[in-house]
Amino acid sequence: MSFANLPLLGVLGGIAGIAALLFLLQLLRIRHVEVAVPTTIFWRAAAREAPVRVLRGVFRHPLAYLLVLAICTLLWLAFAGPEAHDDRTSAYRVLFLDGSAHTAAGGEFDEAADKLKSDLAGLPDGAREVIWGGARNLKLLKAGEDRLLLDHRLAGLAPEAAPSALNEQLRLLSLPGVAPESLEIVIYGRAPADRVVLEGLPAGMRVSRAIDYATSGSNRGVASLGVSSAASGRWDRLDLLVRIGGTPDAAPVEGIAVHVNGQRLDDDRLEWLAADVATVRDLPADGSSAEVRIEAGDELALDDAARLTLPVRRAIRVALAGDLDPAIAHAIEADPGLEVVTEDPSIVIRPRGVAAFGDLPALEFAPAADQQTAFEIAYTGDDSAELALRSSIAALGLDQVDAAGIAAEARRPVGVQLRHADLAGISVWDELLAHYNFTGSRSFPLFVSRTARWLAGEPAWHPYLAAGKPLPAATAWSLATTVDPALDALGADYVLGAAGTVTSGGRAATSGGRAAAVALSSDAVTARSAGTPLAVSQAGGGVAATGIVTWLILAALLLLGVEWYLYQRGMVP
Amino acid sequence: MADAPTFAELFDPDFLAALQPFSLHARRVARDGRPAEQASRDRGFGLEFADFKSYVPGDDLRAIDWNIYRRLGRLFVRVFEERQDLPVYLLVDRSRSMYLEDPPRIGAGLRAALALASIALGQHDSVGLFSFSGVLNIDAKAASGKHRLVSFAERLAALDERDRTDLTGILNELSGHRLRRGFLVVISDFFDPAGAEEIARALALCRHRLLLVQLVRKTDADPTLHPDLHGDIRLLDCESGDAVDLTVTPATLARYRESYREFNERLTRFATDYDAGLVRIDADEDVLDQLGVLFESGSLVV
Repeated sequence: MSFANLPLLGVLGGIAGIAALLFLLQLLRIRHVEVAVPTTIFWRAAAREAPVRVLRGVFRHPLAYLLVLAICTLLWLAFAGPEAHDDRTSAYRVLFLDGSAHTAAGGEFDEAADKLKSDLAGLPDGAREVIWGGARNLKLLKAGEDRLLLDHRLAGLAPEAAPSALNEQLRLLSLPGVAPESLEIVIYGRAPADRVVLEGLPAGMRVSRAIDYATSGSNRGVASLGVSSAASGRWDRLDLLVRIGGTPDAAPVEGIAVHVNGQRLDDDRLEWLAADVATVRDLPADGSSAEVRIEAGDELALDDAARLTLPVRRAIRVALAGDLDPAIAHAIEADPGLEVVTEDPSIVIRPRGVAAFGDLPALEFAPAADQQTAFEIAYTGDDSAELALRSSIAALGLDQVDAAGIAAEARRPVGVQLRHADLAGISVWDELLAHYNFTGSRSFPLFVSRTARWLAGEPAWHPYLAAGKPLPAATAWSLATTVDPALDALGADYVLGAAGTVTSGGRAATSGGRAAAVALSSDAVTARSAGTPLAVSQAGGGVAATGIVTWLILAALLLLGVEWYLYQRGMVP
Repeated sequence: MADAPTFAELFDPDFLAALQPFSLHARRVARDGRPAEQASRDRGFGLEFADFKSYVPGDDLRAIDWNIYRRLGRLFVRVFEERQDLPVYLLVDRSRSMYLEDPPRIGAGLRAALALASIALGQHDSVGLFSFSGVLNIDAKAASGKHRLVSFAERLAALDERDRTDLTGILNELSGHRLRRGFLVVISDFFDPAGAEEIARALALCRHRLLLVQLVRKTDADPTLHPDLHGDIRLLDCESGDAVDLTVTPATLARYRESYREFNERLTRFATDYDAGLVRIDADEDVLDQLGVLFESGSLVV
C-alpha cells in the first residue's frame, strides 16, 4: 500500500491530527439560538429524552464519535490517494505499445492504445514508462511524466509497415543496469516475442500481454521479394522472385499485379513456380522500382504490397593492350559482364611495360624475375593490409587458384603481396600463363572475371531489401568489394526499419546508386504469428488508485447514511 | 410581543353584522333569572302553557281555568313557563402567551369573545366578562342589553398583557364565586404549566355549561413550520422565562408532537365526557369562519 499524494507518515499523522481535532472540538460549546415560545411544556419531555446536542455531548457517545472519526478518516485516506500493489504490481512497468505491422489489422491498434491508457491510469507515475515499438523504438512516456501527455504524443502515430522491434527491446532491457531488477513488460499489441529471447530474460523480468489475442483473421501478404541474375544469362537482366505467405486458413491468391516504374506488367509475365512462389523473368537491371501487389486486399493491408529497387548492372568495358595470351580474351568473351572495347574502357589488361591506358586500373602480366611474388595487388582505400588481403583473395578468386600445383611446377612459392597505391592494380607473373598452365586451370576464367570486377569497383547490389532484416552483403554475382557507404556507415549489420523508401542519416539510402525501396517481406507479419504465448496481464496496476478512492468515498457515504439512520432513530445526538 | 387589536379594529360593524344569523339556545336556564327568551325552570307568567295546579289563595285569578271548574267543580289555575336570560360568562386568557407571536392569539380570542357577547346580548341574555392570567379579574358583571355591546367591546380592547397562566387556579377560584349557573366560555391557549389533566379536573368542578375556545396556530402542531425551530436552540418560555436547551431532531420533534397530541386529546376527551363544547380557532385564520362551526344550524344549543 502506498499513497499517491502523501507519504505514509503524512497519512498517519493526518489521521492522528483528525482524531485530536475532533477531541478538541468536543471541548467547545455550541451557542444556542434563543427562541421565545408560548410555552415549553411540550418540549420538556423531548429535551429530557434527547439531550441537547452540544459538541461535547456528541462525542460522549462512543458510537457517534467512532462514526465521525471513521468518516473523517475515510475521506482523509481518499485524499491521500492510496495505491494498492500486490507483489506482482509493485514491479517497475514497461508498457510496450506495438506500432508494427503486427497490430495494423482492423482496430487492433486502437484497442491496444485504449487498453494502455486505461491501465496507465492505475499505475503510479514513478514506476512505469511507455515505449512505442514501431520502425524505431521511442519512449512515449518517461517515468514520472504525467499520463495526460500520452494523448498528445500518441496523436498522429499509427502502425507502421515495419516488423516488430519487441525482441530487440527485450534484449536491451535485459542488459545489466538498463532496467530495474524487478520489471514487468506488458505488451499492447500482437508483437510476437521470441522464445529464445524470453528464455534469456533475467529472473526478475516478466513479460505479459495486455490483450489475449486468441484468434486472428485470415491474411495473405507478400512474404518475400527479391531478385537474382536472370536465368536467361543476360547480364543486364534480372529475375524477380515473389513468395506469398499467409495464415493457414487464408484463401489462395488469385491475382498479383507487378509494376515496374509504375507501369503494370502483363499478367503472363508472372510465372508461378509453386502455389505461393512466382517469378518475373528478365526485368531490366537498370535501377527501376518494382512493386508487387496482391490485388484482393485484406484486413492487414501493409503486407499486401512490397517494393524493391532493382540493381543496376552494366558490362564492364575492358581494354586489351599489348601482346596478351589469347586465353585472356577467351575468358573475357565468355563472361557476359565483360566487354572488350578500344575506347573509353573502365579497366585495362596489358603486359607490364605497355603504357596504353596508363591511368586506368590494370591487370598486368610481369616477368617473374621482376616480381617477387606471383600476385601483387595494389589496393586503394583505408583498410589495413591484413583486411585488404583477406577481402582481396576472396574477391579475386585467388582462393580458387591451385597455388600448390603451380608452386610445385614452378619450384618456387606462389604468394600474394599487397601494397597501398592511388590506383588499383594487379600484377601477375607472366610465366603463370606461359609456362605453368594457369590458363588451363578451371580457376582462370573466374580469376579474370573477378579481377575485372574488382578493378572496375562495381558497386554491390542487393538481392532483397526487407524491412527488419539485415542488409545483405555483396552477392556472389556482383563480386563487388565496395559497400554502399550510406548503408554501411557503422560497419555493422544495417537493418532497415520500415518498408518504403528509406533514408539514412538524412540521405536517401541507396541500392546500386538508387533510392532504396524496401519491402516489408516478413513471414511473421504475414502469417500473423503470435510468437511464444505469453501470460495475459490482469490489469495495468492491479487495484487502481482511483478505484480505491472511489471505494473509500463510497464507504464514507455509507457511514454517513448509517449516521443519518441512527440520527433519525435518535440513537446518536 | 405583538399588539392586541384596538377597539376600532375589534368593533368591526361588518364582523358584528355577520353574527346576526347566530343565536344561543339554552335547553333550560337556571331559576331566578331576568325575563328574557330562554326557557327556564320557573313557572309563572309567560306565553308557553306548562301545566295546571290547584288554586290556592293568592294565585292570579286570571289564571283560573273556568272550563275545568264547570266540569269538575274544582278550581285549577294554568301555569306558564317563564322565559329568562342565560348568563354567559366569558373567561378570557390575558397571559403573556396570548400576546406572543404575530398576530397574537389574543386578537382571535377577543374577536371570539366579542362575537359570543354580541350574540348573547342580542337575545337579551346577560354577559359577564372575566379575564385572567395568574389572577382573576372581573371586568364586567353579568348584565344584559344590546346597548352594552359597545362598552363590552371597550373593556375587551382595554385588556392588557399580564403574567403567567394559572387556569386551574382561576377555575377553582371561579367555582367559589356564587354565580348563577350559566354558560361559561373559556377562551385561552390552555398552556397551563399544571397540564391538561389538572385543567380538566378544574373544569369538571365548574357548575356551568362549558365552551372551550382553544386558540391555536399551525406551529403548535408542527414546529417545523416555525422558521426558528431548528438546529441547536434555547427555548424561552415567554411566561415563566424558563430556558430549555434543545437540539431539534426528528426524535425530539416526534416527542414534542406526541406531547402536544396527548394534551389536545385530553381536552377533547373532557369535552366529550362532560358534554362541553370545544372549538379550536387558528389565530392566523378568520375567526368568524371558524366560530361558525358552532352555529351550523344557526343556533348553538347549550
